[in-house]
Order: sequence, then C-alpha cells, then structure tokens
Amino acid sequence: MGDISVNLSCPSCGGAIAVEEGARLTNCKYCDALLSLEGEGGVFKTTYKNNVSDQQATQVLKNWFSHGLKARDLPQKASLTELYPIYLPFWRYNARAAGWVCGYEERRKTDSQGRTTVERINMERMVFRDFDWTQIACDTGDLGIRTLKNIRGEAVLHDDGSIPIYEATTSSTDAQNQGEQSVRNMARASAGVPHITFEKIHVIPRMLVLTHYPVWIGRYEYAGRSYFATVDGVTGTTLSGRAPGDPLYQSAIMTGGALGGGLVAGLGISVVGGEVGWAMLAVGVVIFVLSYLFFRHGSEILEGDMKKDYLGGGLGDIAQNIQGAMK
Amino acid sequence: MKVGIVKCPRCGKPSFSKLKDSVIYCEECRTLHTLGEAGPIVLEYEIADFGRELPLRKFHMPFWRLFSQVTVFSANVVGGWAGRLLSGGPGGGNLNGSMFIFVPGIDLPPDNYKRMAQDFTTNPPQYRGAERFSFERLPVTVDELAARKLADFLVLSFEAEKPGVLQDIKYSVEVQRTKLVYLPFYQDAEGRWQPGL
Repeated sequence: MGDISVNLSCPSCGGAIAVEEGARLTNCKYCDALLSLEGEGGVFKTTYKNNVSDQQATQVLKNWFSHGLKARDLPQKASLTELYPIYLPFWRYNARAAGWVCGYEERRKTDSQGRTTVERINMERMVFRDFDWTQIACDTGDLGIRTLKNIRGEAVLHDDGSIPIYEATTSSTDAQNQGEQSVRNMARASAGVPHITFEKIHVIPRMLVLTHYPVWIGRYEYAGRSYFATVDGVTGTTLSGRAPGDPLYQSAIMTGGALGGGLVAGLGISVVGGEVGWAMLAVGVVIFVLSYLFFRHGSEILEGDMKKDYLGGGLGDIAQNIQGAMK
Repeated sequence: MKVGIVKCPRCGKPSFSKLKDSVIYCEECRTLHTLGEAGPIVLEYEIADFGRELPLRKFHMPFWRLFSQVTVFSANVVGGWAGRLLSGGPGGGNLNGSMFIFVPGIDLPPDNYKRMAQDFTTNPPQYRGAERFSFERLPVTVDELAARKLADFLVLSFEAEKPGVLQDIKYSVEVQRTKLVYLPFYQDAEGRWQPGL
C-alpha cells in the first residue's frame, strides 16, 4: 500500500498532503504536523489513474477479436460502434487471519481382495497470513465484472464529479461484513482440513477502501448482432466480453470430444479395469459432456465473471433434464 | 475528506512527528494517545531501558502487554501422550491462570511475529524503566483490538503446538488490562532484530 496524492493541503503549513491508502493518520512531509483523516461517511475513497488511451483500447479489442475460439472472420467483420471509459466502484478489503483449524481427513484404501478400509488422519493447521478481498460495489448488469483482478496501479484520492462513474450501491458496513466472512472462508479453505472438528479464526481488518477503477467499454456489431468487450484501464488487458463463436470450432470440438471421450472410457473399461478403469470411464464421460456443452452453447463465447454454459455451467440444466425425463 | 491537526488530549499542544504512527506521543507532557471512533484515547505505556550495549542501531519496539486470565476448560488431543507427560504432566504444561501476554505492536513477517510474541510471553522481560524515548521509536501498526485477538490466537497456539493433534478445545482468554510497552531492540545490517535487554 503506497502513498497516494491528495488534493488537500496541510492545515498547519499549507503543503500538499500524501497519505497511505486507508490510513486515518498521516504527517505533513513539510512541517511534520500530525494530521487526522476522515473519509466521507467514514469511507476512504481512491481512484486508479486511467493509463489507456482511446487508440490503445481499440488496439486491445482488435487483438482480442483474433484470440480464442471466436468466429474466425471476427477481426475483419466486427464493427466497433462505441468505446468509452467509465469508473467502476469496487470494495477492497485487506485483513490478516490468525487462527487454527482442527479436524481430520479420511483416506480410503482398497486391498488386493477388494476390501475397502477408511483411515482417519487427524489434522491441526495454523492459519496466520494476510488475505485480500474485492467485490464490485454496484450492479453492472451483464458486463461480467465482479471482482478486481489487479490491485496495483497509480492511485489518487477520489474526486467526485471529475469523472464519469458508476455509483456504489452497497454500504460499507455490508462490504466490511462480506469481506470479513470471505477472508474467514479463504483462511478456512487454505487450511485444507476436509472434516472440521474445531476452528477459531480471528480476522484482523487492515483496510477497507472504495476504489474507483477505470474500465473501457467497447460495443461492436457482427453479422447484425451487438456484442461487447471491456478493457482494464490500468493494465490494458481485456476483462470480459461476449463474442460470436464459430460453427467449425463447435463441430470439431464435438467430434474430438466424442472420439477422445469414447477412447478413454473404452480403454478404461476393456483394457485397464479396476478402480483406475472406472475413473477413466468417468473422465471419458466428462470429456464427452463438456464437448457436447460447447457444441450446444458455443455459438457465443463469454469471457469474464459470467456463467459459461459451454464450460459446465449447463451441467445443472442437463441434470434437471435427465431428472425430468425420468419422472 | 476532512483533514485536521492532531492535538494532545491532555495539554492541547499540536503534535508533530516524522513517524507515521497510529499512536501519538506528546513531547511536551509525554502523553501517548490514539484516535478512536469517538475521539482520542489515552494509552498507558512504559519504556524499557537498554540492558546491554551492542555496536548496532537502537530502537524502541512497541509491544501490547495484556494482563489476562487464561482458562482451559477441556481439550481433546489425539496422540502425543508421552510427549505431553515429558513436557510437564498429562496436560503438557498448564496455561491456566493469570499471565502477561506480549503481542508485537508492529508488522513483522508472520513467523517472526509469532515467535517474538511466544518468546516474551513464556519469558516475560525484566527491565529497568526509562523516562523518555532516547532512540528511534517504531510505529504502532497493530491496534489494541487486534492485539486482543492475537492474544487469543497465541493462547490457542500454545495449546495446539503441544505434542499430539488437537481436535477440540474449550478455553477462554479474559484480558483485564492492557499497556503498551516499548522494549529495547537492536537491528543489524541484515535487518534482524535482537533484544537489547
């Protein structure tokens, strides 16, 4: 957490003030006066400086068109209709977790005669480290941005009104509570204890900041339909987007998946056998189902924090369909 | 954002310091205070004098000293019975009772932080008090509330690190009084800390 510049002056000597993000106390670097800082409504706000120009954002989008499983003629046929920067609000919470998680792990062993025994491995794990949590502080609709991937950049103190922003719609109290719960969950998960018999994890908050982060939104048309993509205004990389898929890729993946999945499953059942054989059968089925899902839903490629049906997000739907058919 | 000059709650003098510290020391009346949600909070503190001389840079390092009542009601530990017996009875050494828990008031890498806290808690430092800060004072970055949580974590660590695998424990740590104690430390060229007591 480095110092950020503030458009305020020291009440003692008039010198410009620089503060550490989230700090409540600082000292003037000119006269050494100790200064108390209070954010509006107790919330400290910062803004990341936009480093990406209009031309750079356009170039990033053009590069993005030609990568992945998108339509092969997208770079030639996509027509950019809109490109503009906005600032999205994110809550950033940093805390240290200190605690212990105790419990056990069960390991199943099968001997040569097929008898399975369960061995209990007792565990006690300490967690003592820092965690970061971020979450979007407003509803961005279908933009596909929920968390802040990058937390490095040049930060300046937030100046209301100077930039177009999405307003935060969640409260700092809710963010604090969610951040604390998420850090506790991350700490518990990092302990890696499958069956917990005791846990006590203290979460020690270090910083809660509302960060406004620059994002370029590009809208484009392809074959008469509208799509979008977003570009990170600090790192200049794409964050999320929707793009048309390619029927050739869909068919190729379906065919390859059916062949590969069938081959793995067939080898597992007929040649390998035993537990490994059953595992290979399961892997073969998963390969086949994933390739089917891509064939079924791959007409639109999604990137970012969005439900991707072609990557297994539709498995639940398939399970529901099977249940329905069985009824 | 609002910016205000910090003044000593006891003598009213504006505070000046080159340190970015969450506690404020008044050079005039030697009051130490911090800014709470509802206003300034005066802190009790002690300064320990250096007990040995080394040709290294001297610092006053802050520790929260929490006078606490620790009670371990029950603990379910699997295995390690022999180890616990050797280290002081079936309980493996008893934590129950009143004790001073020392929690570093500065940010240190987690391993160093815990080791330093455990060392001073198991062997409370003996020192001669000093009137004033004579050397560089390290800034407090761990507040009192965090120190209370870390004291609880330390007690739990003492129990968990005994021989055997802890599966469940019922205990309480009741902090009765807190004080900020500045202990003397030397720092060598590699940045390692050595107690100056």
